[in-house]
Amino acid sequence: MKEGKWVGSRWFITMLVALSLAIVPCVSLAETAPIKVAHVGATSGIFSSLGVGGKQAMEIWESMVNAKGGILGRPVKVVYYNTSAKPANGIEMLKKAVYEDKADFIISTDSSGVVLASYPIMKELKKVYISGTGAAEAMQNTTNRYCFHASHSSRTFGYAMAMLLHEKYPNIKKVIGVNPDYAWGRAVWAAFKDSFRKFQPAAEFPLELWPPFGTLDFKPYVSQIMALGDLNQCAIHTSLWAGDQVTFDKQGKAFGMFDKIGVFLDDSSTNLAVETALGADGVTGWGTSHYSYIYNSPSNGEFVKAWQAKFGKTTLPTSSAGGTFRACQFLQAAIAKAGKVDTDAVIKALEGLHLEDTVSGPSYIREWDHIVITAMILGEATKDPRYPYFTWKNPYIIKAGDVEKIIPKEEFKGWRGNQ
Amino acid sequence: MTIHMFLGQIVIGISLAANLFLVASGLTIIFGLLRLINFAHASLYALGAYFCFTVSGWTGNYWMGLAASCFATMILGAAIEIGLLRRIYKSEHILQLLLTFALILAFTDLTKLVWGPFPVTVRLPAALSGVVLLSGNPIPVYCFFLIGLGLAVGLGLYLFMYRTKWGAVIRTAAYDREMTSALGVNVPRLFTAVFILGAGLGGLGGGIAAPLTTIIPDMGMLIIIDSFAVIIIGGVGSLMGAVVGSLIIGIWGAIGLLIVPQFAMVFTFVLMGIILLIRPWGIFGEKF
Repeated sequence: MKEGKWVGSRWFITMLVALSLAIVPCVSLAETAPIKVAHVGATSGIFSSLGVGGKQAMEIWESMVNAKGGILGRPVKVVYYNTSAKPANGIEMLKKAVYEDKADFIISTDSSGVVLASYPIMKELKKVYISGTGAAEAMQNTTNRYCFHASHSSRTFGYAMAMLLHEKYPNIKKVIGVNPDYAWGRAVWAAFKDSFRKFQPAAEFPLELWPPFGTLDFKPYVSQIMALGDLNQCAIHTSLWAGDQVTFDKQGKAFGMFDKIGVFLDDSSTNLAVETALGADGVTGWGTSHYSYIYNSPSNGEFVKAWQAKFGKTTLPTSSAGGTFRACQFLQAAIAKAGKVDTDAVIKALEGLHLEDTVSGPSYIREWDHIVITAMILGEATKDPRYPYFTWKNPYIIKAGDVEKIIPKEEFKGWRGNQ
Repeated sequence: MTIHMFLGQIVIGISLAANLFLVASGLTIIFGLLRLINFAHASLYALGAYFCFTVSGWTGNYWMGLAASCFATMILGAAIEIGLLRRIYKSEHILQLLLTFALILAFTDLTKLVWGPFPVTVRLPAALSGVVLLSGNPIPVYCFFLIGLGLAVGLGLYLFMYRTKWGAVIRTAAYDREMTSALGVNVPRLFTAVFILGAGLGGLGGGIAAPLTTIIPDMGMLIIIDSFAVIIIGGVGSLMGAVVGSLIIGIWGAIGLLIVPQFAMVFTFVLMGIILLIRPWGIFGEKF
């Protein structure tokens, strides 16, 4: 019996030691294993410029974080997934990232359509999802406890441009609208018109044109604008974006349209990408963006510097790149605040999180709708001898606190309405 | 809508038609002889624009870029025809469709690797900048250039097809390949030559569109739909059909916006549907 007892104790001690030896490396591995962040974005297809900008921002963020010792002492590993801007692909990629590749968090750079399709699935995947792009207002009504949005909404774009027009060009009362014929274009133009009427009761909208997305030729549209005659006291407002706007600008130039109008308002959020494509043939006018390299903050200075070191001195981070980087900044701060990578803890840390220094200055996340409230930055595109394309000067900034007023709580149900 | 505005839109519409004709004529010539539905024509158009972008960037000369867009796509066309398509002429149309569609996907990704996903542009040549006032409407000089080039290419193709020995050989081969071969014509080589011609027209279409459009990897997909509409309406394999189909779609594209803007796009496809129902071989096409 005595021997049996001894054998039992010896067996117990051996097992304990073995277990300890097995557990210790596991614990220490978990503590040093990389934090896996999935970047899900449209890096091919017609929206590829969106996702590629986001991917570039993720590469910079990953290097910056790891160069400073990671988060909670753990390195960050970003894994990339391409959705081609197709909602079905987006859902598949999210499942792959979480179920197969065990991603801890998700950052997205995609079209509103893919982001909106991704929201419901996040309730099943139970991981934090932060989108750096997408501007549909529906995001504020369809979000849930796992989903956060780090860029501006269509209403903010329309409002900001109307405010700028009213303040900078008080004599201009007529605005021609050339907006894409789908949800984004309709929403921005409606927000612009409503806001401009409030600022300028004598406002007139003599022509509203709705070219479909992917229009090959804008000449028939430009021709209608030119037929209005005297355009000197008219502004043209457009939320055509990326390739569509490049074509519109080129064809407008061929007609001499930009020499005749009072002011050109590019409310597309993609002004830098458009100007880069146009090169020396750029168009002077005001632009909006989810983010701008022009904003003066320490972290934006660091971001732009790292960007130019990696991608070239004559390149600048685009709107989607900046929005994505801002999403990363919030994720990083929330993990640090939570002290662990646990989803619930990070959600709690994100809600109401206030950051003094982001790429767009002081910003915070509203607890009730998970939207990042940040400065809206507008700028005037003009020739710049440092770059082979037009860049912004004269920043016109609507601070985060004022942006908050554009999208008031009363009008949205927030994430609790979707549980 | 005033008469002046209407006239202005007509001219714009004809210039749209001219660009569309350059692309659609390549498609229809290839189908006329080879009986091949060449979706890859979309890629040749896009590559034409990219070649124009690169060469005009290197040389600072748009015309060099335009020449490159045509010649480089002709070389590429030869490689595609000899390397791939020649093997599937006798296969069913569905296989041809799949292969040429696969080529679009491959070329789109290749384009992205070489030129990147971001839009690029070509500068409008100085000689073709500016506007001409037509009945008080400013019309870009480039539109008149497009119309002129469309006319020149159309006339050139007509003379080649109907006034030369080789044109006659091509038309004969389109009717009866075996008989043409029996007469001593090297039909596979003829096929290659026609495909090269069609590819060159696709590339030229891209190069000619480049100064007034955005060059993106997927740009060919946008025009190929209109081009197919052109040849279905005008008649598959018919040069005259390509002319008429382009004019219908181009002019309606401009005028429709003034009259019924919300239905301007639908019209093309409704007309295409009607033609397919009552005359599936198109206005100028022949039963095959």
